[in-house]
Amino acid sequence: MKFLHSVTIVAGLLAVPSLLVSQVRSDYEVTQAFEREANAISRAVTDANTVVECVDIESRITELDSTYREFKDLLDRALYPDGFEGRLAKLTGQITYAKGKITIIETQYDRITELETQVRELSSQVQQLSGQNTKMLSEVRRLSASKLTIDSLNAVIIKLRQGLRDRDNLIFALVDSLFLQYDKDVTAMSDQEKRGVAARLDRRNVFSGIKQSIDDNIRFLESTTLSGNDLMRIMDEQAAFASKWSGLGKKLADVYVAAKSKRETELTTIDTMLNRWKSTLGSLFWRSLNDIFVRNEVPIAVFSTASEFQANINLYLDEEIRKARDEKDGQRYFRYQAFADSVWFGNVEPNWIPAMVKSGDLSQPQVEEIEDKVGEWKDIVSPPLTMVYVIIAVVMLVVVLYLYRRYSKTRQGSVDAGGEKAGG
Amino acid sequence: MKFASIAIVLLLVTITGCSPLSLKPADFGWPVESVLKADSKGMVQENRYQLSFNIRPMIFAETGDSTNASIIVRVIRDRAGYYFITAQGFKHVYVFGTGDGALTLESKIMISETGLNAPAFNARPPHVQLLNGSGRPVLLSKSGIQEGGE
Repeated sequence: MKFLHSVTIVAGLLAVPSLLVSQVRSDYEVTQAFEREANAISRAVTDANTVVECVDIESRITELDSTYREFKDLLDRALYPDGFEGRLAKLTGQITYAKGKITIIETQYDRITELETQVRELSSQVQQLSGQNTKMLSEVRRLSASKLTIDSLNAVIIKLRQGLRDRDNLIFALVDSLFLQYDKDVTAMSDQEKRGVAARLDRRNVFSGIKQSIDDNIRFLESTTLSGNDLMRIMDEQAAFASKWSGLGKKLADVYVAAKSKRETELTTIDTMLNRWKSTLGSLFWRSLNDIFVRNEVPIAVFSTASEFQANINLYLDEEIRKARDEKDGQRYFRYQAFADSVWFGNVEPNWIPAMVKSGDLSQPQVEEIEDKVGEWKDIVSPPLTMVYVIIAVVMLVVVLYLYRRYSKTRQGSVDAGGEKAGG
Repeated sequence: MKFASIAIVLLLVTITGCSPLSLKPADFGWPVESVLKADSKGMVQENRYQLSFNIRPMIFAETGDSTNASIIVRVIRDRAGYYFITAQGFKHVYVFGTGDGALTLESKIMISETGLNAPAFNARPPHVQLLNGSGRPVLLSKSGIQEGGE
């Protein structure tokens, strides 16, 4: 959890008003929203021709029930004469009748129902996580501004990172479950099926969910400073996200073209956002690494690529080695210590170098070259160890000999005194 | 004494016989407000409760100009039978009772000097709740804003 120690304050984010301003919904709005969805479901029943559509409609009825059950009393009064239960019963009756008209193979129906349940659950988890992540992002900013609650901030960051990762995974799992129901490749789908998929993707907010995922990840990066290894893990996650998107993007393009959806033109937005996420990660990586040297007052010229990093650090080491050879004052060892203990071995080597090697930005020989120079510098400024050991050994020998001689004299004195007494 | 008793009984019978017949309790409340669009003449029509009225005089009272009468009004009826009417941009909520072929103004409640930006009524018997966007909801009765309750 070393990255957590490197959390820094982000300027400009001191006052963060709550993003979610609560607004009271009027009874009329609730009633209208229920009526709109009930009417849309009713129309969908009339148009349903396939098993997938029937399953989807049943799922919508289930959701309508669970979303509006808390308003049952209001809807019972407002929806005269059906009431809440009556309206749901009508919809259920309609879909039962429609299912009867479409010859349905039960096993296929069960499998699709199972997938649809999965979609529904994943969708609600995504929504829940999105809400939690938004709150946590605000919390990170608030705690960052307070400067006093580093432990609380670290705890929130750990939870937030997990939350972002989970949400990213869930949204792709949701899309997978949705496409799996059709049991065929998008290219083999009829236009009507594609329109169905497009409508369902919209209803599940897949498109805005993916955009929000990327946005939140960028906002997270902008709110914190992480170690190289942590950034590398996030880079891996970003790459995995981009790879999943490239597979999904093609499918969506196909679906949206057939459905004549405006979304088609928006697909490129996601590509742009993914590029922004990647470049934010890159610039954050170099900025954070530069900060380490600045904070520890090690004067290495600013770098923004691995080759610049390597060149500048070599330049610095060469200069220090030269100075160490020319100057013989005690300061040269302290300069080495400040670089080696606090910066190089304490942070850069364990937390940043593996990330650069893994990404291929830095080769192993290049790392060894830097380490050799650090070793050379150390050899120049450190007292030679063998000489130290020899001096210590000589000193100890002298002490032991001195003590032995004193002991021998004391012992001889007591023997002589004893002999005189016996003789007398 | 006997005469007095008979007189009292007769008086009571007379008084009872003269007072109007009333059926209690009665509840006129609407569960949900109605949102009604007025036509160019200012007429609004509520279909569920079969109510129609002209809003021109109210627009004039509110703005001093009733040239544009095609506005959307929000109407709700409380348990006692009073109609509460307002619209976006209005500073007041108007409370009407029923008269002879007319709605007659009972009271005019000042809500906002700058005008309501997103008004909506909820039934909260015995009162009517007024929402205004993200502002604090208030409880109304025909006599005005009720203190202390939301």
